[in-house]
Amino acid sequence: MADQFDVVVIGSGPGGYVTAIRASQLGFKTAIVERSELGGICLNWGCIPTKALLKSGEVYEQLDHLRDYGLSVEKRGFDFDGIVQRSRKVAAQMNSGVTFLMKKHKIEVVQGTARLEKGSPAPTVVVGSRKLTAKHVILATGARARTVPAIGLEPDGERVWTYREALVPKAAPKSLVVVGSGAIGMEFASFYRALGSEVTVIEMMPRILPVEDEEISKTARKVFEKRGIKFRVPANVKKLTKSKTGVSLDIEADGKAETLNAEVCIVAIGIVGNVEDLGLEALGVKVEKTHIVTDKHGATGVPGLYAIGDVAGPPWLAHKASHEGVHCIEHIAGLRPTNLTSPIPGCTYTTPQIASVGLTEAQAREQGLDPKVGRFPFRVNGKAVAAGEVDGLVKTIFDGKTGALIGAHMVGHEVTEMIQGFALAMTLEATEAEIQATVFPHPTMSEAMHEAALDAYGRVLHL
Amino acid sequence: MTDILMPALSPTMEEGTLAKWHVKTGDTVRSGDVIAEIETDKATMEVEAVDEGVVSEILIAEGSEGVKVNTPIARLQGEGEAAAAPAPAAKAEAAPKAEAAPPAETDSARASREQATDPVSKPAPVAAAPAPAKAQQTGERIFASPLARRLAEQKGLDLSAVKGSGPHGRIVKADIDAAQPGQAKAPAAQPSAAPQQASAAAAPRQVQSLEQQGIPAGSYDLIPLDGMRKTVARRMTESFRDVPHFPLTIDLEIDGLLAARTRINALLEKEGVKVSVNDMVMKAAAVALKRVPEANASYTPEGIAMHHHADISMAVAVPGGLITPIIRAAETKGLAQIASEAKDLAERARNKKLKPEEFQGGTFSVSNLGMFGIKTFASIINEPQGCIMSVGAGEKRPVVRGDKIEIATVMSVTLTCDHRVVDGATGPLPAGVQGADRRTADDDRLRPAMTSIYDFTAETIDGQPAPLADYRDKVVLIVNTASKCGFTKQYAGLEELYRKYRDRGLVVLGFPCNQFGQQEPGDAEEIKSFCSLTYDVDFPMMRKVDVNGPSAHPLYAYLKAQKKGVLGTEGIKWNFTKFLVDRSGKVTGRFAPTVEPKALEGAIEALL
Repeated sequence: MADQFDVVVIGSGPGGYVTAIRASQLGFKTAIVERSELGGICLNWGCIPTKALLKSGEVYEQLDHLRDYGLSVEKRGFDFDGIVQRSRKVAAQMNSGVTFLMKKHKIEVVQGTARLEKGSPAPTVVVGSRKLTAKHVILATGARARTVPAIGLEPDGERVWTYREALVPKAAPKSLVVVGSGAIGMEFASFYRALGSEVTVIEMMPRILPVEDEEISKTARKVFEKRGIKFRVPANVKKLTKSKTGVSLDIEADGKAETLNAEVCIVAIGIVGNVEDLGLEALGVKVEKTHIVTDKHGATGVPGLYAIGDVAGPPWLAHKASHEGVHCIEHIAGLRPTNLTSPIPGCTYTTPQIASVGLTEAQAREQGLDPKVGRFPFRVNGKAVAAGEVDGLVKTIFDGKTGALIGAHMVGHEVTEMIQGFALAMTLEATEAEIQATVFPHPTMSEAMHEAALDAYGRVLHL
Repeated sequence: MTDILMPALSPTMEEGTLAKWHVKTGDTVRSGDVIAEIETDKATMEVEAVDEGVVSEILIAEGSEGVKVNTPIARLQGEGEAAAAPAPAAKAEAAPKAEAAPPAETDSARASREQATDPVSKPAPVAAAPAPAKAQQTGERIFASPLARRLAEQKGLDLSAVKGSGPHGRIVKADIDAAQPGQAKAPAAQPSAAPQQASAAAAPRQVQSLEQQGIPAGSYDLIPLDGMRKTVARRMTESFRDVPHFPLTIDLEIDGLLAARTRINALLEKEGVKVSVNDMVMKAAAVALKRVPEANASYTPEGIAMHHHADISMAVAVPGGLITPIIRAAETKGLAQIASEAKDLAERARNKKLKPEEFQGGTFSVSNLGMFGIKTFASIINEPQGCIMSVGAGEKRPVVRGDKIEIATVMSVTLTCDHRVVDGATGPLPAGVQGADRRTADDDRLRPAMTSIYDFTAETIDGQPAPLADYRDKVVLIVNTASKCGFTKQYAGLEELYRKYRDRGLVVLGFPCNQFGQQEPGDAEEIKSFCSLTYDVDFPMMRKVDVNGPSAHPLYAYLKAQKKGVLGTEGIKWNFTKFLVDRSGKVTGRFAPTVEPKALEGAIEALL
């Protein structure tokens, strides 16, 4: 009975493989099904390889400013193949890391495409000729780029790319149009701009990075524009046409028709859940707008079937998937939840970086809260000035009535490494008093976090 | 050294009476041992030890009332720990204080409320209030998040009365949100904060004292609010205020139902069970809820919870209030079982012997005031349930049939619905279906819903009672067997079926019967050894029964009525007639002796 498990996880991205490890730790006999590479999009075609590319771009762009630091360089240049190869090597290393983790935790990796059939107590997972039965089946099939073939927003690998093609091109395009200014769109815009591409970003919503706090969007846009990235906001793509040498996009920007020409177009207009061909309809799994509907523990309503991560709805973030997966399997194991609300931070690894957690100022006001807002720019932070990284700011939002930290937003150098401080404070249910009473080391950029918390209560020291 | 704390036996419990100690100083307890009995506003509960050790001190005396949740009640010394020096001071302080707590609490709480609601009135008798602040009483460090502390302060909540649900029992925001400002801090603790508390701490609306409203003190007796009264007051106020509710009333003619009840009770007389109209209403409601799942639902901020089972809460009046014990999964239970459970629950409710899980968490409520002659009424929703049904008296009333006025027994029922869950067009369905049929309520339609195989009890071949309810949720194959019959070799086939499918939930039950050609003459012992020696029978064998005639086992009377033979006759023709029952207790098939067990595989698989 080799194919009987306690838990079968479908999909080995950061949601699936983490869930499988936690399941194994909890004593479940666990299998994980993967149709492509272990580690899913995140490790192989997403979070990790893009960070490698962005690092190369950042270092290269830094060379422009060497004189500011009293340095000089004889001749600068890049080997595009080398950049891409490094990114692939990083992905491969992480991928083999997951292979190791699966072995270490005695998780059986089943290579193939899974389909579900009716079964009891949980649906049966069919992979090729194998039928895996389990007490609990957890769907972590993830998502893929949304495309709109009707107007030409569909990747062809040559002129029109999604994140996938954009990770491994033969050369950096001379000119580039990015459709969509979310994290993925902006990261590619930032990377290719660093290597010298002419980049234009089109956003349908009234501002770029539309999920971020408005002030953060504005500040980030100014820095991006300083770097030479162009924007059309708000703008709609009417039609994309391809020619031998490039693409041409008919757009309507601010009510006016315009045509943009470029060598390549990157489509980054959101994602759709991988819900097809799994046999979900026959089981009666509720799917809404390509995402599986679940309760807060990931249960789909079909006995023994759960869904977590991107396929279970937004926010589409690796760490959210891991968190949900762990919560789901712990709930299955009957562990008591801690009753903590864990806010999910979001990070964008552009230059400058953007990081946020909790409510934006506008959301706080919409909810009828009376927010106390604090701000502190890096321009007056000693460490930032010394490092020559003065663009950006920290913004904190407190509930005026209770003093609870309800949101924090940052734009600037390496802010993605700092946001966890605010996330931790929120999970611990800190109020302004604890953050203000915390000693932040000097000199660090994190002092701006402290000052922003002081500023919300009119106590800022260095402004 | 471990302190054993006063446990919270239910989410609403704030204090309780330490009714009885089961251990004394020096006793060794193991995890799981019952150490004490606690009486709350709703029930008496046994307290089990969580840790192992020797009871080194009893801190709260037996019979102490008003012991706050989380107060240390005894001290446990772990194995190998040196005997601790007695703590006379702590002891002397803790016990009397706990006993003194109720009046202190009531006084100070009331004082604070008065002060809170009317900041300009004369100062509360602060001096008269005994030493306040719960923390002093226990001296325990309270673990709470910063936000929880601040919210508690703003709401006027005493943290020591709040049970933490965060990591390691830490009090987090969610606990404060769920807690009620019943535990207002004593005014002495924070006199200056009192006016500020007014908005948050006081009741949802400003209540003037009776004196202020012209009813002089001394012109009435004041009955202090006990835990149950407070809980009822709070839950009803919240529900009535916060749930957008609407009532739907319908008249049901129940002459058919009453006739069915008479017949059913005649059948059940032997078993000593009497089915009431309310039992039938609960069963019918449960069946209706399965047909209209939208009404068996709860509103939550995350979504509408569609409950898998109809767990029917039945309102029971008890001295000093009411309580709603639950018939779980009533849709799967037969009337006889519902009647016995209802009787048992009501009895124990009145004796305060219900366990929390027996009255917490129903999905639908039935409240019946018919016995008091109430014609119609609309109950207040029992949150988080979506509906509550109010049952009036069955009485003879004139009804219009065609163009004539006739007399019928009519019962009005009202469904109060939470409009967030149930819409006006959904509500009438359960209200209409629950009487099985609005106009006629004929018992033939009711019968399938009213009884299931789970109402019957057989006897194993070893003479042990074997309630068929034990096979709930299994697929059951019931066969009358004989040892000296041409079909006897089917034992082998039955055993094969059993082994093949038992892991997936099949049970085969053999009922030896001597009614066909006297082919089962032996006694239990003989049949047993024959089965196991000759056919290696592993499935449960029962005592010899009659399957036909006046002395037929009631189970067989039921099975035959559910599935008649090929010619439409009920009688069983020969040994090895097989009845197949699905996981819900419904008889789905009857197979003649000539049908080999193997041929049943398809039918069985379909049910598994």
